[in-house]
This record gives sequence, C-alpha cells and structure tokens, in this order.
Amino acid sequence: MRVTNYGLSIALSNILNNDQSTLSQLSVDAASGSLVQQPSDNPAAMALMLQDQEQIGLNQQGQQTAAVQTATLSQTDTVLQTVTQGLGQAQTLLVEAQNGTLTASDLTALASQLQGILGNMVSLSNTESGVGRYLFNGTSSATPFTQTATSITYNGNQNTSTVSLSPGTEITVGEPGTAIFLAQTDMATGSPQSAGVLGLNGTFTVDGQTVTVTAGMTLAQIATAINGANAGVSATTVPVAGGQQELQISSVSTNPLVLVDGGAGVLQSLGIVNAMGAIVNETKPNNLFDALQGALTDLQTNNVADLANRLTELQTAQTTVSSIDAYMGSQQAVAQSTNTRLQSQDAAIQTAVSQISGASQQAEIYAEFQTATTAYNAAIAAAQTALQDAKTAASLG
Amino acid sequence: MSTLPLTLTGALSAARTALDAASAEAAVSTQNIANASTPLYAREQVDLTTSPNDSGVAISNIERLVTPTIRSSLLSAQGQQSGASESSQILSQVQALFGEPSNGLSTQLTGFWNAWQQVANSPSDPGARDALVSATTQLTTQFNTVADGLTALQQSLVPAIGQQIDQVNSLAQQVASLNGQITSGIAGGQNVNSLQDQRDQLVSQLAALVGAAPTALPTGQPTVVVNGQPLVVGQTVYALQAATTPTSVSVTWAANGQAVNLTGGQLGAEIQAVTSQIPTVQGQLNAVAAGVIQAVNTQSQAGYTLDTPPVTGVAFFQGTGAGDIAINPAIAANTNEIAASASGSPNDGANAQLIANLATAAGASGSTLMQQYNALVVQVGTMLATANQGQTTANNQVTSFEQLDQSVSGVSTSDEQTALLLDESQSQAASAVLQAVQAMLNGLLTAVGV
Repeated sequence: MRVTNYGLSIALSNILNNDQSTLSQLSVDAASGSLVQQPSDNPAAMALMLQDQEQIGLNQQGQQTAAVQTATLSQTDTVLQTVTQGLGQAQTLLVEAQNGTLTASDLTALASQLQGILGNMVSLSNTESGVGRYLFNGTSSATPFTQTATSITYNGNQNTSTVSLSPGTEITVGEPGTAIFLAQTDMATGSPQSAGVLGLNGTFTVDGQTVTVTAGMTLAQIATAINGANAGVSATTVPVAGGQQELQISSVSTNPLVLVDGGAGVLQSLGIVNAMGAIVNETKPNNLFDALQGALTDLQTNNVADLANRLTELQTAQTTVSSIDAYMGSQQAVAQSTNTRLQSQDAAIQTAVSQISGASQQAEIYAEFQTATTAYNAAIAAAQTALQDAKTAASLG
Repeated sequence: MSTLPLTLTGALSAARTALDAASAEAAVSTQNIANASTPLYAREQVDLTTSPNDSGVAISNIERLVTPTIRSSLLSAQGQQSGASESSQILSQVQALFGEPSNGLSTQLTGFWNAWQQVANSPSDPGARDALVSATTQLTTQFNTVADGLTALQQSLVPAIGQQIDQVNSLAQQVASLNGQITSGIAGGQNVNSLQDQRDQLVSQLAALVGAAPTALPTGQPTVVVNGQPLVVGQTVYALQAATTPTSVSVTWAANGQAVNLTGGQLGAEIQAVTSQIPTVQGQLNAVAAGVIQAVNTQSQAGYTLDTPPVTGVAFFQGTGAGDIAINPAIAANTNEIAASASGSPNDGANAQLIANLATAAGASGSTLMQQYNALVVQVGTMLATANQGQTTANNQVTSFEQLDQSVSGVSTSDEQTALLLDESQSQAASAVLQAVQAMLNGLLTAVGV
C-alpha cells in the first residue's frame, strides 16, 4: 500500500490520540480509585453499585436508629432498675412498720419516707427521652403522670411506641405508663350481653359525667358513648362464649370508679351494678402507685394491720416492673445485634462495591498506566523519526 | 527497427514535446505537493503517450486518481463518525445532568427516605421534621434541576437543527451547481479535477451533517442520497424543511411534505436526541417523580399532623412530575403539618414509618421507586456507552478508509520529489538535445557555406 505524508500524519495522530485517551482514562481511574466513575463506563456494574449504594444508605439509617434506640432503651432500663430499688426500699419500710413496737410518731416518720419514695416514683415515671418525648406515655406528648394530694392521673395513651430498624426488624421502644405504674386499674366488668341492638333506654353517670343510651344501641356503641363522655375511664367490649360480649369500664387514673345508674337501670341491665347500685364485678386497683398510696394512707392512719396486703401489692408491682425491664432489655439486645448486623452487612457491601468498581485493582491500574505511558512515548518517538525522515527527504530533494 | 525519416527539425520538435511533458509533470507534482495536506484532495498524474511517427511525447490527460467506492465509503464512515460523536456529546450532557453515582437523585432519594425514618423515630422532634423538609427540598430541587436540564438541552438542540437543515440545503445547492459545471467542463474537454475535489469536500460536509452518501462519483449522474432517498441528482436539489416547536422537530421533503427519517450524521443524532432519547429519559424520570408523589401523598393523607387538634388528609407533595415536584408549601412553612402520626397522637410515628417503608416497597411495576430510578440511570449509561462504542467503531472505520483512500489519492511528497528529479533530468536531457541539434545545424550550415 502506498504510504503518503498525510496518511502517515493521520495514522500517527490517531495512535497518539488513542494513547492519550487511554492515559487520560487511566489517570482518572487511578485518581478516583475506581474503574466506574459514571454510568456509561460500565452500565452493568453501575446498576449493582447504585443498588449497593442504596442499601448502604438505608443500612446506615438503620444503624443510626439502632444506636439511638439502644441509648433510649438503656435509659429505660436504668429508670426501671431505680423503680425496682425504690419498691424494695418501700417494702423494707413496710416490714419495719409491721413491727408492733413502733409509736404513732415512728409511723409518721416512716410515712414521710414513703411519701418521698412515691414522689420519686412519679418523677421517674415522667422521665423524658428527648424533646417532647417521655419514656412512659405511649405516643402522647403530654406529661405522663400528674399527682394531686389524693390521686395520680395518667395523661398518656395506651399505644406502644415502636420503631423499624430494617425491613422486618421492628422493636418496642416505649410502653404506656399504665403498663408499669398503673398496671391494673379499677375495673368493672358487666354480664354477657348480645352483640346486637340491646333495646336499652336511659342514662347513667360515670365519674360524674352523664352517658345517654338509646334503644338502637349495641354494647359496642354504648362503650363508645362512655369513652366519648371524657369521664377519665376507658370502656371496651370483651367477647365471651356464645358470641356474647361483656362491657368493661376501667379507670385510667388511681381514682376509684364511680358508676351511678339512672332511673331506667341501664347499668343494672348490663350487669355492671346490682339493684343496690354497687358494682357487681369489680377488679380493685392493685398497682405500683395505688400500692404506695395505699401503704402511705395505712401508715398515716396507723392501719398497721393492712400493711401485709400492701406488701403483697408492692411485690406484685415489683414483679411487673422487673418483667417489663427484662422485655425492654430484650428489645435493647435486638437493637444492638441489628446494629452489628447492619455494620457487617455494610462492610460486605462496600467490599462488593469496590470489587465491582475496580477500586481493589489499584495495582492493575498502575501497571496499565505504565504500559500506556511506554506506548505513548514510543509512539511519540516513532512520530518524531517519521517526521524527521520526511524532512530529510525534503531537504535532499 | 524504425525506418522513419528522422530529421534534425523532427528532433527539435520532439525535444520540445519532451520539455513540455517535463514542465507539465513538474507543474502537476507542484500542485500535488501544494495539496499534500488538503483533505480529500485527489492527487493528479500526467498521462503521457508516445506521439505518432516518433515525433516525441504527447500529454493525453491530467488524471485525478481516486477510487469512487473507497471515497464513498470514507464519506459514509465520516457521516457515522460525526453522528456517533454528536450523539456521544449529547448523551454525555444527559448523563452529567444525573450526576450519578455520587451526586445524584439516588443519594437524595435515600436521604429522603432516611429523613422519614428519623421522623418516624422522633415524630414530635422539630429537628427531625426540619431535616425532612430539608431532605425533601434537596430531592425536589434535584428532580427539577434534572428535568429543567433535559428540557434546556432539548430546547438548545431544536434551533441548531433548523439552522443545520438550512445548511444542508445550501450545501446540496452548491453540489448541484458543481455537478453542472463538472458535466459541462467534461463535455468541453476541460480539466475539472479541482471542481471534483471541491464537490467531494462539500459532500463530506453533507455526510458529517446528515449522513449523506455520494453515489456514482466522480462520473455518471452524480447523486447524493440521504437514507436511501436522493438529496441531489445531477443539478436537481430535493430540499429538506424542518417544522419545530421549542421542544420538538420534524423534517420533511420541502417538495411533497413527506417525512424524512434522518438518522445519520450530526443532524440524525440531534433529531434522535430531541424526538426519542431525551423524551424517553424525561418520561421515565417523570414516572419516578410521579411515583414518589403518589405513594407519599397517599400515605401522608392517611396520617395526622402535629396540629391541635390533629388534621388528616394533608398531601406532602404538590406537582405531577419531575419538573414541578415540590413540597407542600404549608409543610415547608410549618413542619407540624407533616402527617407522621397514624392515630393523631403527637409521638406516634407510625405513619412516617409507613412512608419510610416505601423505600423498599415494590410498586405496580414490581420494582421499588429507587430501582426504577436506578434502571433509568443505567439506561442513560447504556445509551452513552453504545454511542461511545459507535464512535470508536466509526473512528476506526474512518481511519481504515482514510488509509485506503490515501493509498490511492494521497500525495506522497517523496514520490513527487522523485518525479521532480526525473522531470529535471528529462528537461536537462531535452535541453541537451536542443543544444546538440542546434550545434549540428550550425555545423551543417557552416559546412554548406550559408
């Protein structure tokens, strides 16, 4: 084939351009530590990289959440342990008070100590976990418990607070205060009723609030009407045998239930109260705050005989707290193990990404760079020689 | 052995033709050397024949050395190279708009879902809510930026296409005009080599612009075709016309209004980008944005705000696609309007959790929104990689055909210098002949006593 000067220059510049392009790409690869800087470099590798990148992003969020929740659960654990210790101290006081040799003033002194423990418990029950968040109020933003001279009221709700750490891994990070400090409330349970329309007409009062029942209402609708009366109680229906239901009315505070039937005897029809107006089936308060308040009253009124009951109640409350503490501890363990799992998953993904992107091939990149540099230098030398030859030929001519 | 009546005057005449031939060859060599670097210049060669009756040498033709099939292939390859290069440049801009893998929507989208997770974890924390608004603004801004960038790219290409169509028509007109001059020149026995070079250069520009390929060059009815249809036949031009809107273009034959499917050259690449590639990318980007809007709004409207009392039915986004996606201004103004709660309780983040879970939820298409977006990014990357590969292939083809074309039509200065040396010696020899004949004639005249 004839070789022409123009053809030679085209060939030489093509070779130099190609070599330069290779060198340029390799220097970018070497500088970035990756063979895939943009999608077009390797679309298939980019697909995997983007997928892995997303997973790393979500994992890191999961790790952050897990770390935050581990801290919250650790705080819950500390609080519940302090509560348990306080209950132990209260029990020690009551055992001491049962010693028949104590005088009225001794008992008053013990009562004062117990009052301090109760105050501390209320304070613990209102522990904050963050801005506007409390450990024991469900998902409400209200201060969980408020204390008056005679009662302690729960202001939160009954929701359990949960968070998701990663798809499929959800943990409980907050229990409603009623599960710990007001574990059992004053509750009245009615007799089995039909699930359909009951045909009852009339009114009754719940803690002073009037509830009106009409003939077309079902038991569930009556429960809704009670809840709507904002009487500081919670009404619900409980299924029983034969497709029937029972009405349950619970106090959400340490206040006792006050249920007064109207003239039509609706509550009596529902089996809540008897003909005398007394609650038929009542579950008496038996919880941490009630037990402490009851014990306090007993000490203040020298009712030493009742202290044995209070001790039992405190022991029950302590068991409840310990069991919830154990459960929250298990949730903390899940948060920690999830964090560890996500971290190791991240590390594995990052290794995979560096393999896909070629970041692990630094040595190869440098070797290629060396080869390309040599090729480029050789091409320049060849070009110089060729051009020099042409020049010499021209001068000879 | 010749028995011709060789005479001194015959020798003088023959020596003169030798001088003429040497001069012509020297002139052609000079022309060749002068155009050694002129693109598409076809080297010339003096065709010599022996004059009848041994009367010297005759110049039969100044030949233009070109192989039409090679040159046609070269011009076609240049058209492909131009198209692939343009396509590669346009798609590089599209890819750059996405900023992947590190500065694009994938990062913003992950940040967005994570911000929802933060709100789910701390529903009443104003910091988490502010962070969500910030992450959302970054996401929507990025969507808007990419969408605006795509539209701007489209809008910048459309007027360029219009201008290039005009340029194609003008070049076609010049080719037709040269066709006329060449045809009449050949008929009149003139040297039309430089006109043919000019025509090749014009067709080369047409090839680069529109992928036009010459057929039957340099002889016969010179035709330039686009996608198999003639653009120039002899002196007739079939002009193109472009109808444009700010973001679309359609090209038709001016004579009959029939659509022209331009796929080659720079114009083909630009038209493909404006009418197919960019709209495809826009469509998919809008689908992802609409998917985010729809999924988040549906869940957001089912939740409750942090207002007192809590409000339900609040949409999180406004807009319908990537170009106009925006956070609900009411939420941007007051983060309490974020519907994080499923129950109305302030510290209930269940609804925010459901929205955060959308990150890994498969939509109607069976893939997550992120997967849909990633598929789009990979598609853009694949389009560009294909264009780049096409460019490499076209470059190699052009190089190969250039070498082939050069081997026939290129000027070797060495050859030309050698030829000049030969011309010089031929000229000197012819001069010596003239001097010898002159001396002989003088001797003869002296001898006969003139």
